[in-house]
Amino acid sequence: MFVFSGTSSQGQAHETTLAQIVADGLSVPLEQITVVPGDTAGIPYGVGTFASRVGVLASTSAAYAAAEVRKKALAVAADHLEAAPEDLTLEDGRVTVRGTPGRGLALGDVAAIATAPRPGYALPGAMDPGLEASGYVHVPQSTYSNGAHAAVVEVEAETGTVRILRYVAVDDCGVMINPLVVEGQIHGGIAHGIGNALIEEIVYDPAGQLATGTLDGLRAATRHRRAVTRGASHRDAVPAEPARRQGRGRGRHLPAPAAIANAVADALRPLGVEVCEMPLTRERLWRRVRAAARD
Amino acid sequence: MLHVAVHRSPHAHARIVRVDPTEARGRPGVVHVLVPSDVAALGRLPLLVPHASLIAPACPEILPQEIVSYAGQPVALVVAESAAQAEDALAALQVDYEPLPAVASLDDALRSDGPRVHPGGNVASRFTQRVGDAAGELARAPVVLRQRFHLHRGAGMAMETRAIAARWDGDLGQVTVWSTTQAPQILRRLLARYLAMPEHSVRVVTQDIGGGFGPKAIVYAEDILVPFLARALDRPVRFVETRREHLLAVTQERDQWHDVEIGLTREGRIVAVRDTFVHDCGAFVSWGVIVPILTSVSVPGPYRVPNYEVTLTAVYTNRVPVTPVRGAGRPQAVFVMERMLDLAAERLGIDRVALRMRNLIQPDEFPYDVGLISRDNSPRRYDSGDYPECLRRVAEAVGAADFAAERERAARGRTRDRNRLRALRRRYRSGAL
Repeated sequence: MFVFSGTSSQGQAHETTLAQIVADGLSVPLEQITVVPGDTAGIPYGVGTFASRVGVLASTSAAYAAAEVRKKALAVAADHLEAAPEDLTLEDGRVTVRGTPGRGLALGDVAAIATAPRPGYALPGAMDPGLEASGYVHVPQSTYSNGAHAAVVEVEAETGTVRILRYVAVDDCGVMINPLVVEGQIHGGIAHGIGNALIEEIVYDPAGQLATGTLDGLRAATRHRRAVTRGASHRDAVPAEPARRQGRGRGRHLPAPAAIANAVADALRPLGVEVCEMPLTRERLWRRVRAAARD
Repeated sequence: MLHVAVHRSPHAHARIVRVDPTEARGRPGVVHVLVPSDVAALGRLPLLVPHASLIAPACPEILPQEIVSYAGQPVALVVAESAAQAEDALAALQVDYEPLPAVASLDDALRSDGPRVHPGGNVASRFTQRVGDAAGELARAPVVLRQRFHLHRGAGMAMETRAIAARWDGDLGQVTVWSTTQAPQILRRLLARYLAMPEHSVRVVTQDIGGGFGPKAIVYAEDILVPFLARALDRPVRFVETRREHLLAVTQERDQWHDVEIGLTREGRIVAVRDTFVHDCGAFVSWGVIVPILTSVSVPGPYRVPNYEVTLTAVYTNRVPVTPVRGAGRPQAVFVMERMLDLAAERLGIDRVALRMRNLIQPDEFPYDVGLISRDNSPRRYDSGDYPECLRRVAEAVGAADFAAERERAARGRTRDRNRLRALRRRYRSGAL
């Protein structure tokens, strides 16, 4: 079973997530599914992977396509087995007639029949050939994920060094398609957000020349500080409508700089230091603390 | 396989006086040197996300014919038998520039007598959205706080730089492109356009592209020119970006200045927020102004803000273009709102969690219409959630109730550290160390 998607995988586990969706929709073992993202030969239309769209859009369209293929497989198998479609079950990649487990067809055989109809014979219901379907989804508007983050930090006023003692994220995910993938997104987002909050900055000089032309100058976040994540859910099923699904690709990056800045501001309040900039680099904080001490 | 090295503008803003590829063409292994005049007919990259507010939107030329607008902008390409030969031949490529005054910061961009990035002026877009009457309510609010915030540039900075390989099949009239793009179909569509080929003859394959974070969703000049060269030279061509090029020329985000006012009741209910902010677009706006639009509609966040007014001014600077980087304008909005709430809590003497609880949208208010139009031109409407429960759980898990005691302990620890330092100093001075 091949799944082609108009996405482009950057390590977010599209291959796993989309395979799960199709395996569920078609009752096929996960290992029989190969997901091929990022090949325009596989699917001509798509937008790509950004803005948390895969969980919302690609996964829903994969579910639509799987449901269509399931319907088609049952119709073709019913015709071949001379049984009513409602008497058939599709389980573990095999269509069988209810009550007579010996009578059945592997999904691969159904595909062969659907792909190569005998000349002179039409497929049941005059359906189009091929055990395949494309699913496209439309959402009337952007979807919104939510959560709450909190940080406890310690600031060494003498050097401007910020240590993150605790970082807690509660994300309202509802049912997660894959908890490991979701948690990975949350951790990655927080790490990226911490980088934005404390260390990463692109600096230009007054002539418009890049002053941070090496990674040494940029100081991207390369070491992941430990964060604790907790799930919260007010739903007990993945919503069928795509508009009610939520992506987790970027949301977790949003609150991290704010949470850390608020914690730093709280820590430095006794010293009269204002925190109204990002990133809070060591040098910038050190200067702020010194300026506040002079005032 | 042929390899490409890119000559990039060393100036933030300059006029190209002369491009002379003669010497570079004679260097060992060099097969071709592509100069701006070779691709003048390709014109500019398209405005992918138009918006009614855009004033004379500027998109980059595939290669600049006269003016370079940021340091790192690609100007000419050397094609050679090896990557090292291509790189070496760059030194022999003669490009003369006449430097122009650069708009290097938001300060520069806003100066009325300052230099201009483009002839149309430095303002790319300016518009206001309103919910209720923020100005009136701020004038009447019992407590008003004002603050200015500066948010600086960052980058996606994927560990894997960009890379493109293209193979032309002359017999079939087809081109296959292996690319690190996050948006294979968009790239295919643009390639079909710039190569004047039907879409079905262009195949884009992206497999494992490494990190993306947004900047790899952008179509860059090299994305068009590498397949262009593969067809022109009838040889497979490859370009692998160096880390330095990635730092210098891949799109970035986040520079904004916000002037924010928040009005509250003495009990801590938000009555109004007004945010006036300036956003740095860099030199071009191929992706329109979706980043500042997202900032502008995200400021109210999960809170009830009955009166809200936001004015965004997006300006050009002679810096790398700004396009979405993970979060796309939203982290700035969250930063601004959450800092204001902490400042308000301090002013009002209300616990920070309690102040937020007082203002969160409640579970029975969904679907909740914020009253703003988002970047997809649809109303910003939240479909579901239990925001107070999330906040309650996070406050409990982080131990917010014990913050005061924890701060005490930290202060004691600090005193202990100081005493230890003093003791060390005494021992050092007395010669005991």
